[in-house]
Amino acid sequence: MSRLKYAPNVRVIRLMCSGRVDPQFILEALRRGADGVLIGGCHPGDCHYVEGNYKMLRRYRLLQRMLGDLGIAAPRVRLEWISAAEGERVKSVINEMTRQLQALGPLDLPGKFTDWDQEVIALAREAQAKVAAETEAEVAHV
Amino acid sequence: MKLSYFPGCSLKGLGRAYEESLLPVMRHLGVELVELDDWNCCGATAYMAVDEAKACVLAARNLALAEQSGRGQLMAPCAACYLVLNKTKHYFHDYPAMKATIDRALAAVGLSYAGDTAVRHPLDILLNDIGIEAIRQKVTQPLKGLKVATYYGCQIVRPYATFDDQYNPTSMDRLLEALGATIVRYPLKTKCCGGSLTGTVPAAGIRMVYILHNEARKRGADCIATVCPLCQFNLDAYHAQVRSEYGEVVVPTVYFSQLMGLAFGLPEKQLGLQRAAVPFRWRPAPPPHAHLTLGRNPVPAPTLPMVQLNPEIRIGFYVCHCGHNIASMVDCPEVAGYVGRLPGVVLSRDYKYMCSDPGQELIQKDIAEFQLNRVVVASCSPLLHEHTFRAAVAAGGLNPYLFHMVNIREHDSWVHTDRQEATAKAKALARAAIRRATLARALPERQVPINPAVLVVGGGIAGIHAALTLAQAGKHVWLVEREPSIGGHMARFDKTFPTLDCAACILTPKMSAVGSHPNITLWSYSDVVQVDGFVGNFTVKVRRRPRYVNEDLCTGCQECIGNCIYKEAKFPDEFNEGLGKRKPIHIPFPQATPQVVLIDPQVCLNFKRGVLTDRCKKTCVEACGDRKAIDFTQKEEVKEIQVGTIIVATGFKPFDVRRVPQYGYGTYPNVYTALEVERLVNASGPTAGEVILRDGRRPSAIAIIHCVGSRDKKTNRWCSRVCCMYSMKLAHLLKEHSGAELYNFYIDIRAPGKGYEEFYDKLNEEGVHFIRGRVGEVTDWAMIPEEEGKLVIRVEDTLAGVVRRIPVDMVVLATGLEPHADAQDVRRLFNMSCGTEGFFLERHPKLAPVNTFTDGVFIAGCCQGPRDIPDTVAQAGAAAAEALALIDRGFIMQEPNTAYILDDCSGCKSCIPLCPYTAIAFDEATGKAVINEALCKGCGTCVGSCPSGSIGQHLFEDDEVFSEIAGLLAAYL
Repeated sequence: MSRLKYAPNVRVIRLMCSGRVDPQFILEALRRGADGVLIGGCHPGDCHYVEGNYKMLRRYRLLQRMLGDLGIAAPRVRLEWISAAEGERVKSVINEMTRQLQALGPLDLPGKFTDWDQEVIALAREAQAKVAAETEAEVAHV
Repeated sequence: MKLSYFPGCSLKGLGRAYEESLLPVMRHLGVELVELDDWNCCGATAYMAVDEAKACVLAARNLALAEQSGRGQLMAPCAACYLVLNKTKHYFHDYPAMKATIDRALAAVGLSYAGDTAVRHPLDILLNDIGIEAIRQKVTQPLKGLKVATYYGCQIVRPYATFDDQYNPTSMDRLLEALGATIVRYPLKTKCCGGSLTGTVPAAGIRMVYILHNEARKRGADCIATVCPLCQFNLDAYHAQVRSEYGEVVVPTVYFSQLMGLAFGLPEKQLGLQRAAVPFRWRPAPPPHAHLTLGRNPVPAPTLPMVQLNPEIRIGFYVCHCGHNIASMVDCPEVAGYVGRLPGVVLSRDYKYMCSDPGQELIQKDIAEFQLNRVVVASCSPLLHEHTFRAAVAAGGLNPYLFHMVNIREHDSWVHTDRQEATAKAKALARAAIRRATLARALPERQVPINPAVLVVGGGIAGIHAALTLAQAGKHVWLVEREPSIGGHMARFDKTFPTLDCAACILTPKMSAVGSHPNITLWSYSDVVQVDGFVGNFTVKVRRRPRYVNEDLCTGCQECIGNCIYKEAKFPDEFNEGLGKRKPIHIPFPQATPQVVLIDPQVCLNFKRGVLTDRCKKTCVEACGDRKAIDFTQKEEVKEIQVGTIIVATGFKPFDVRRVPQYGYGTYPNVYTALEVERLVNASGPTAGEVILRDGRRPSAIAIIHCVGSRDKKTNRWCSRVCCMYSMKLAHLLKEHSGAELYNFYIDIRAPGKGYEEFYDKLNEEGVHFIRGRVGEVTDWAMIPEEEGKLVIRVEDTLAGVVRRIPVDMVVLATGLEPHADAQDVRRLFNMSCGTEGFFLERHPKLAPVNTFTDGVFIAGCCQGPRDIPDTVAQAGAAAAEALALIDRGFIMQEPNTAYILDDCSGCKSCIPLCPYTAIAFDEATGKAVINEALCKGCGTCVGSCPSGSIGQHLFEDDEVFSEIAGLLAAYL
């Protein structure tokens, strides 16, 4: 309603409750090239569906540990309690997160997957060449 | 604790007594002060007046030296030094040009300043670092009996009130109280000491010094305690002139540090007390238990306990321009062109208004012509038009759930400023919706019957009107009211603006109608404690508090009240804002509905603090006789009711005027709130309508201050809408009842209603004064003899361009309206939202003003925002009509977004405790979970948590969400 302006690089996925957020949704978004994922939920005690936000909080904490192990910086996945009345907060959170992500630089998992695939292919070729050379040497020896 | 110390010129000159007393006191408290090496002038007074930049450079040198010393904190006891050093630090951070000047000047002498030094005032350190308790422990000679006027002067609170309140600083008060002194109320504590005036316009300066002394003396102060060497000098040095001009009015002026030294038992001679021109002598009162000191070894006084203060898929896509709302920021034809090339899309259009009839007909025509089996519309929020388009799609012969909506207005065009970026975002959102739409499944509609009973919460005029409207339409209404009687605020008003109808005369017939209506069950003195269920089928628990009187048996004869053991009414009467008195057994007001008395167990002799005792003769029971209505054993009851819809009309709370201390409510007895005055001028009020003040006088001049707790950044920012009008009403009534001169102090007169502006004109004709300006303060210190014994309004008359002092006898504060203190709890109870100011949030400010985000829950009256009685009644009628519209349809359509169990459920039961609606059960026969569709609300928490992914949710299936993610990020692949 207040038409507060914020950074245009956010894409919204509507779910009924933060409790519906499957951690796989977050991983999928990152895998497909998102630099960060913001989950918005009702304030603690104010959940429209009683306590779905608490369930999300638990999953979020576990997911953060896993993301840490994967080398994905914590600020890339953020959980924020924002009520329907807090347009100003939507603005500040999105702008702040955008700044943080810009400072962190692109995550570019699709690009990394391509690099890693090429690395694996190169390693495989190297191994094949080595095996071929050994076989050739063996044949020559015989 | 170690700090740098900046004495400044005063503490080495005229204010030596300050340094002499402060240093030993701080040492005594374990604070090590290291005088700044090679300090220079702080830059105050003359420098600051002539060249601010040079003054700041001077101050910055001291700040730089302090930073260099490695001690991050610099104590500046002199108020002027404290202000200038602080100001320089602020300027350094706020103004790049000033920073550059300072940097350049400091560099010239090989110094630099990073801007970190904290400038601290001794009071700040004493209260916030050392603490009152530690100081109290050091007191050996309590200042028992010493009456002190605390005087802070202008500089430590203006403009940077860093550690204390700007208007009413209390740090020195708390400090000296801890020393045992008594603080006299001194409204001049932050006023000018006469400062520079004594040297330039001596007569004016001396007069200011006189006023300060005279007010302190009038209030019985033994001394004035200062924190500023300039104030101390001014008050002390001109004693002779003041005496010769005004007589014996002078009171000794001391530094707070000198009083601390005395209380700590430090040698008097070392505290610089001898330096004052007006000598201050203080002989401590003999210690308590003095009679035990007969022997040679005095027995120490016992330490007192300390008191702590405080498929084939054929998709049709439409992008709406929404006039300019979307089209101005999003290139709609480009989005339509882009989406038209996506797989599955057979048709893509852009149109000016999709929600219009031609827009909806376009969709229906296209479904038939192009055999569309999916429709996607990119327009506004689904909250606004999802049902519009679903209905249009259904009318076109397609299942409504094969429609999907994209929000490119609230989530895009309205919140971005770059057209290219906004268009890119609209394309991404549309692409995601197209991918998702291919997976959409046709779903059956869910119909649920509606219980025709309605719960109305709150028995003010809004609740009363809504309840009567529904009851007259033949619906059963449960009206729950927190207070013992319905009527709300309106019952307490004397007259209503602008017609001057008597509020009671127009309200009480409606109250009686509620009390006697067969379709209304009125539960007063009751609270809603729990609400379960959903639209059409709510289960509500109501707590009925005991009134110790059986409602069915009490006839309202009130004989019990006359026979109460208390012959005189002596307890503050809530209905009359405490201005009148009542007995323990009472009826709130003569027309109270229900006509049932109640007993206040806090004051009834038969109870002692709510617990039944045997201390009373129970004369009320005797008087009640055979009716046997009085029941001391009545207990709180929780009752459960079933309703289909709920109207919340909980009203407002008047602003707590104590939050604006400068207006003196609670300090000056003749300062009243508007609601108090409503009772005061009421013929059945505590004074039978005569304007008699709390001190028994009759006022000859009355001030009404508008916007108290409204349009104020410090309290509430909103306009309370009704105050201008009720202030004018009260002005009229007060003038009529007392003949006094009436002054209205306003910011703007807001009279936007039928007959409202005319009412303002009428008041002008009646000779009521209107002065435009926000009142600075209400005080009782007299500047001229005419002001003696009066309340003085200090205000800037912004139309005349002068500052005025207007003496009056009575002050009325036009208190604003704010949400109830427990509005957040009520919001949670009914699953509503609140706006930023705390009022309940309507679904749409223009198009759904009585609906909330929870279906079946409506709001009416001031709980949604301040409004007057006509608007409240109109809104209550609208809420009743909305409830009737639901009830008379007989059923509601529910969103089929329920969760369901898939065949591969392993039966781990982990979802069962997650469901807040206990909709999930375990089927022992199949070894799988089952979801009760009727109980499921569709939050999807179980779906997101199922370890084996065996729970699906209609409308929010995993594959739908994944396809949406893929669509949003497709550009990156």
